Amino acid sequence: MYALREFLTTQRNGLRLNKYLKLILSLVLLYTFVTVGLPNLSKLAGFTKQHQIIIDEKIEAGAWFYIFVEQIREIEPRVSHTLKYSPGSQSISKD
Amino acid sequence: MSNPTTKPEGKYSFLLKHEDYWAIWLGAIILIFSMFIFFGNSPANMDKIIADSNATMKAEAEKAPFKTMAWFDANAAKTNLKGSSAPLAKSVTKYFAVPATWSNDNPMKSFFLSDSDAKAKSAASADKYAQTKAATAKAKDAASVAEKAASSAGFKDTTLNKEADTKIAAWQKAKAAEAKAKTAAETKPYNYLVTMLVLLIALAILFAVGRYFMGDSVGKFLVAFPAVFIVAALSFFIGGHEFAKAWGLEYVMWAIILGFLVSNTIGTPKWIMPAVQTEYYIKTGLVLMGATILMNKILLIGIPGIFVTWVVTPIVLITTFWFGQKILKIESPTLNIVISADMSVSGVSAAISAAAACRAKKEELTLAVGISIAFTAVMMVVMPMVIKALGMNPVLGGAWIGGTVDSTGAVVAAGEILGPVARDVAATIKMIQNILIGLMAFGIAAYWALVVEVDKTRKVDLSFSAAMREVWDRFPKFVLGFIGASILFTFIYSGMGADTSKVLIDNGTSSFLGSLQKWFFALAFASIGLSTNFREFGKYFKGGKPAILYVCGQSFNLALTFVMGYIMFMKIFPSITAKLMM
Repeated sequence: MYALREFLTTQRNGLRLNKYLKLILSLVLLYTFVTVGLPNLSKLAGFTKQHQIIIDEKIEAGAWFYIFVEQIREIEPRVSHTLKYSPGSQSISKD
Repeated sequence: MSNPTTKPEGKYSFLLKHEDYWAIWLGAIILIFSMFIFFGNSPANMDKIIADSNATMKAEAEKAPFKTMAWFDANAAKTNLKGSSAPLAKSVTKYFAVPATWSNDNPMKSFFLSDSDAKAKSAASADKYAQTKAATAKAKDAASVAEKAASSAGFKDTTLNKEADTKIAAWQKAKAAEAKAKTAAETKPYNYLVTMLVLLIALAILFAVGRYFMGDSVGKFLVAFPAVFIVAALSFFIGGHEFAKAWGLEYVMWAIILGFLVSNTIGTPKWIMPAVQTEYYIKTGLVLMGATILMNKILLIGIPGIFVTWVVTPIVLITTFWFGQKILKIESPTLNIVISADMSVSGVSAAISAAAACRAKKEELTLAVGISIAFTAVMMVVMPMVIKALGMNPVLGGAWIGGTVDSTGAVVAAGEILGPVARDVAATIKMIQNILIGLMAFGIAAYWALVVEVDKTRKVDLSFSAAMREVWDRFPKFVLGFIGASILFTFIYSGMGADTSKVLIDNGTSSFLGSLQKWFFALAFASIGLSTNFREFGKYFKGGKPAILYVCGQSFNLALTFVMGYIMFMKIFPSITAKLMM
């Protein structure tokens, strides 16, 4: 009985190790995809120049709501001031 | 440990036992806290700076046919007023920070930057900062000379005006480069591992309070929560890689994938499951989002903006949903509406709101988000190429991008590739479209309660009051918190006035709530990944119908937005286009 229990425990541990190995390998693959795959995919797709602009301007291209995009904080007042205080306009809109 | 059976059962006890209500209570606590932090701590001389800036811009606009240097200085002085700069606000929001952007040379930079590394980075950037500073000073002198020359001619000489305008634009460009170099030259050390630990404890307690009243084991929740939080934190880390950001692959996607990897390899351990609470995190995040959906913004770009967003978008949403139901015959109406919403309104944010409003399955939300991210990654680069190739007017191009590319960040990125005018128009159009989310979520929740789910219930009592009761029972209550927060903050915004609100709400409470929302949604998507079997996706993608729906809907969206943008910006309101071009 003792031997059987030991055998079954060992088997289970072995199985677990395989699962953890799968997880670790998956995480390594994911990391490799991000650090090596994505930069090369940019080149392959011909997006290098555009992606470099996004990186240089520190744009969070995946940000999915306006409050998450830092640039909006400058863009919104600039547009609103441009329309409200239009240069050369004789009739500036009132508040 | 909780013991719900010992708690008294009052008439209103349901208010403390339902997840939807807890989303509202937690959201309300955070909103009150944010108002306390920002509304009582406005920047010094705020009113004077606003009044002076407005007066200067008005006077300069009347004086010259281009934006003068004083106009830009006044704009900058006003824009730099930020409620988030107040010491109390800074000391609180630093705990909401997510792991920083990193590149292959130093992944640890995402979590930790030592004092020596910060100093080294500052020193390395010092030369560039000095150069850009000198370049700005030179550009400023040149702009000043050109503006004086134009002024001497009474701003009547078009050549001198054009020269001044060009020199001032060059000065603004140099100033932007200097600001970027200054940020690098003043790099400060940070340790997000510590701030994230504090946040973990705070969020665990916050969410545990709700779980306690809902009858769950607080102990089990507290033990499990750090595991979900770690997946969320890792999703920010992966999404923080510079190329992940450039591709628009944000934490939402990585949180799902990381969760998948755990659940589909080792299997999510049972002890983690008490904190795998997708809807709880999403609903609370959405109540906070409600406070940033400010109706006051819909007129930002005038009537053309309304037509390109609030007229085109609902038409595309309804048509795409109809197409999915009647032509493609998508089996699940919830999957159909979530994809229709994310494609027509604003990507992930609309998908989350729509999914919560119609109680879509987590696999359906994941699929919609995945499709949206994939198409957005391509559209944000290809659309500027097409617009450039067609030689399209930048205002029209910007409006086209803003109305069609799903996520706001991708819209700004696509606009940036095109140029400053297109970027500003695109971002503004998208922002107005973002505001539509509140109404859309309410509409979907009401439609589902009144129409879609009606057949599933037995109609025993046909009286009006019974029908209303049934509708109320089916209506997702958290939507009331979502809409309520939107209405409340819209009123506060109006009451304060646009200028003060920009400082205390846009650059105050909204940035505060935004930082926290990111964590809530990361926890939600990590929970989705941790509780989903990859094989289950097959049945939702049957026949590739979801992708076909997206492609057909987006094609219609592209056509209608372009036509509407052309009519509005080029034919009916060319004066607005001319102003935006300045």
